[in-house]
Parts: sequence; structure tokens; C-alpha cells
Amino acid sequence: MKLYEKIRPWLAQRFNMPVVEEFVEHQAGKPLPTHTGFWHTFGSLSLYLFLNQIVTGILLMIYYRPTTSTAFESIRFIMTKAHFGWLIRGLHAWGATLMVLCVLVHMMRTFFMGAYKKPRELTWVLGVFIFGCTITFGFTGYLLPWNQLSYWATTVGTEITGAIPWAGNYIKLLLRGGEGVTGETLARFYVLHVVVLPWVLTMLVATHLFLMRVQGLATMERVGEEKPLDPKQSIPFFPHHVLKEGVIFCVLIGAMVTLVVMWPVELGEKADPFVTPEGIKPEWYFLSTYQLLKYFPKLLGIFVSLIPPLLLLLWPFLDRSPERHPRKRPVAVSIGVLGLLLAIVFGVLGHLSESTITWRGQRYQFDIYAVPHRLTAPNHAPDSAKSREAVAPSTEHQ
Amino acid sequence: MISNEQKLSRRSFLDWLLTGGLLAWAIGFAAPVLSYVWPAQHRGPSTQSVSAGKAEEFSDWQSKMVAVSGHPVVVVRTPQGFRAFSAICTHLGCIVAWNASQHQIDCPCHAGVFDVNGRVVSGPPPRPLAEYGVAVVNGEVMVKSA
Repeated sequence: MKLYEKIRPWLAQRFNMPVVEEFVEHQAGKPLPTHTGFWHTFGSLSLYLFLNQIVTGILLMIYYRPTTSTAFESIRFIMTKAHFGWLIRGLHAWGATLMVLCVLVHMMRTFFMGAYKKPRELTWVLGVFIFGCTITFGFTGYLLPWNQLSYWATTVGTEITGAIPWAGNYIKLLLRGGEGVTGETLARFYVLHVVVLPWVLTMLVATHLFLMRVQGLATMERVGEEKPLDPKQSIPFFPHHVLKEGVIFCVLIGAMVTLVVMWPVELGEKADPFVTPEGIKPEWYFLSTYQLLKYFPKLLGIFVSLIPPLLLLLWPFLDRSPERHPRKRPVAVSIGVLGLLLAIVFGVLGHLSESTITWRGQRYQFDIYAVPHRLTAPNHAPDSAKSREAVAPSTEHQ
Repeated sequence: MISNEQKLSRRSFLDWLLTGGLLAWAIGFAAPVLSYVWPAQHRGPSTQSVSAGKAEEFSDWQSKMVAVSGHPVVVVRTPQGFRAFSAICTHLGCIVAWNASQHQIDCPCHAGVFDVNGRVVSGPPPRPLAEYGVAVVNGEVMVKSA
């Protein structure tokens, strides 16, 4: 603080310092409701992870070259030659996964504590857009290493948009920059990933935070019956909550470095537009949608998969009950738990589909619908085409 | 809308003019940006033929993958002659592969199966595979771009 005392006179000659200081003190000492705990730190954790993505992303851009002939090689260079390149890429890749996870936990906390209710509906809606933006980051970033998995996951992912009635084919062309996934697609995804999305997300997060600071955190009281916070019976933002965030931030950093070292991110094989590898799967946060789409014809599947995001977006306007406490909202909480369970079940099915596992000495093969089929001869995987023919649905389209 | 009794005041006329002008200005900026982002495509007939190698290199039910105008094409020799199909699955765009033991074309992604005529046998593909013309010219298997 001695440094501040020295520069304060200089600043005071130029700015209205009492006003500035009062604003900072007011913001720092902002009282928070007594139920504010560790579950409330996941929003800030998402923000820390976004900052991590920006810093590591800028560092990766120094060596990354977004063309089909250099993208894969430049990532290999980062992983093997550039000093600590493995760490920077590892932090970026694991940071992305953890960011999606933190945003999801933050949304769950908001949902189950009824914090999205009046007057904070818009903060929730912005949050849903932030979530959408986060997974779009994941989808566009996944292609950039230009390896087999990313190439074919992008081919299948963008092909699905082609089934949207009327505009589908146009959206697909616009996304891919042509008929197929090519260098044009790579360039487009790169621009989206490093320029467009960061600015969109920054704006969304800034507005989200602004609304949160202006309206304050939600209490557990009924809508319209909130009492003003008693400063004596509330938690000051600084230092109490900030310290709590500091603790969880240290845990996060430790967890991230552990993940990067123990489970390094692989590079795989370079993309080959002429060979599709077996069992391509999207990232874990798309697995439930990926599996859901298999059970429905293309067009119906798109409508069905649009229901969860639309429900999320409109939820504050559909749920009119004034209660916030989860025990007093049995219907909303049941719907939330059911939605969560469905997402987990479909995700697990998606993960198991088109794979073979050994359980109690017996080998099972899961078909595309994740239905297990016992393999007759143990330790002998049959010709994949044969087994697929046996499990393929009998829906002929001729 | 303005009813017949109401007269359009000078102020609201200017408001309309200004709003319209701003809208036209925004469209004027957006139009070239949107058309710039729209992929520039080279269309037109392409009559290129691509060689898939010598006919004698193929035994019956043997196949080869060739690139025709940048698109993967699977060429198969059947006892009745050569057939060539687009190797892009009509379901979600994965690359199909010739299954010599079953005499069928398999998709590795969602278990789509096509027969030797490119027709869907089973699985989710909505359409048969597109067929390419094949001709044997001086012992060379030539695939014509569609």
C-alpha cells in the first residue's frame, strides 16, 4: 500500500480519486447472502479458465499454422520441439474440457438454487448463450490439429446441419466454405475460434457479470419477498469470498497440471480425407446429442436435439413458481434431475457404442445403438463387417 | 401505422427517413460482407477422366480408391465389368470401403452397407451411392467425373 500512497497524489491531480476509491470499496465489500459457499465459485472458475484459454491460446498461435499442409505438423512441433509446448497445449486442451465442466456445474447450481428467477432471467439467458459459445469454441478448436479424429468428427458434425430443412445446405456450405471439409473449413474455424468467438464471449461474460453485480446474488427467499441484505449477517465479497475462490483456484491449477502430466493430450494421425477411421466419436460434451441423433431419422433427430437447449433458454419464463428452495420446487427439480440423468445415460451409451468390452471373462460388442451383443468366441474379434451386418437395423431404404 | 386522420409530422417523417437510411446503410455494409463469406465455387462441366490403373492389375472383386476431381471414388472389378461409386457415404459423409469377402461396400461410421450396385442394403444411409462412368481404354481403367 506504500506504493499506492506514493502515486495517489499524482493520480489525485488527474482523477476524482474519492469517487474512484468509493466505487472500488463498494464493489469489494459488496455483501453476499449467507448461503454463498463453494458452489458459488464455479462461475469465477469458468472465468479463470476462459483467461487460461486466452493466454495459452495466444501462446499456441505463435507456432500454429492454419493450413492443411502445416496445421498438423505445427502442432507436432509445439508438442515435441517448442520448450514447454506440451504444457501449453495440454493446458489449452484440458482447460477447454474443464471450462465446459465448470460452466455446466455453475448452471446446475443456478438451476437448483432457483437463482434464475425474477429479476435475474436475463442473466440466465445470457448464461445459456455463454454455454453455447463455450461448446462452439470446443467444436471449432477440435478441428484445428487437423488429425483423423478431428477431421471426421467435423465432417459428421457439419453434415448433420445439412439436414435442417430449407437452410441446412446453406449453413453447411457456409460453415465448410465449400462442399467438403477442406483447408477452407480449417481457415473458417480458425477465424471463428481465435477472433470471432473470443470477442463474442468477452461481451457476453462482461454483460453477465455486470448484471450479476448490479442485481446482486440471489438469496433463497421467495420471489418478491427478498429482504435487503443486513451487512452484519452477510458475507463480504472481499476478503471472505475472494479467499474461498483463491483456495478453489489453487486446487484447479493443481488438478490441471496433474491432468496434463498424467493424461497427455494426443495428436493422433494426420487427417486423410480418403480414409475414415473406425469408431470416430465427438468430444464428451457432444456425446449425448451424438447418441440421441442415432435413434431418430435425420430431420426428427435435429428437432429432438433442439428441445434441451430451447428448454434451457426459456426455462425462467416457463417456471413461474416464486419458490427458490429446491425442496419447495419438486416439479422443477425433478425435471432438472431427469434432464441431467438423460444427458448422462445418453453420453455413456454414446461412449460405449461401437466398442468392445470384456466383462467377467466374456467379450461384448456394442452396436451403434449401444446394444450389447455377446461375442461367441472369447479373445477373438470377428470380422467387423460381419458383426456389423448382424447387428445392423433391418431398415432398408430402397 | 399512421391512420388517415393523422398527418405525418415533419419530425416523424424525418424519423422514418433517418431509420430507413440507417437500415439501408447497414444492409449496404452487410451485403458485401455476407457475399464475401459465402464460399466462392467454381462450377461448370468437368469432363476429366482419371486413370485407376491397368485393367490387368485388378482381379475379380478387387477394388481401388482413386481421386476424381478431388472426390474419393471406389472402383471395383466385378465379373460383369468395372463399377465406380462415390466413396462418400450418403448418410453423414464418411468414406466407405469395399468389403471383398462380402462383396459389399461398408461405411465405418454408422454401419451403412451398400451392395455392388451402390444400393443401400442396411443401415441409415438415405440414398444409394452416386455412380461414376468407367471405360477401359487401351487396357487402362478410366473413371469419368460425374
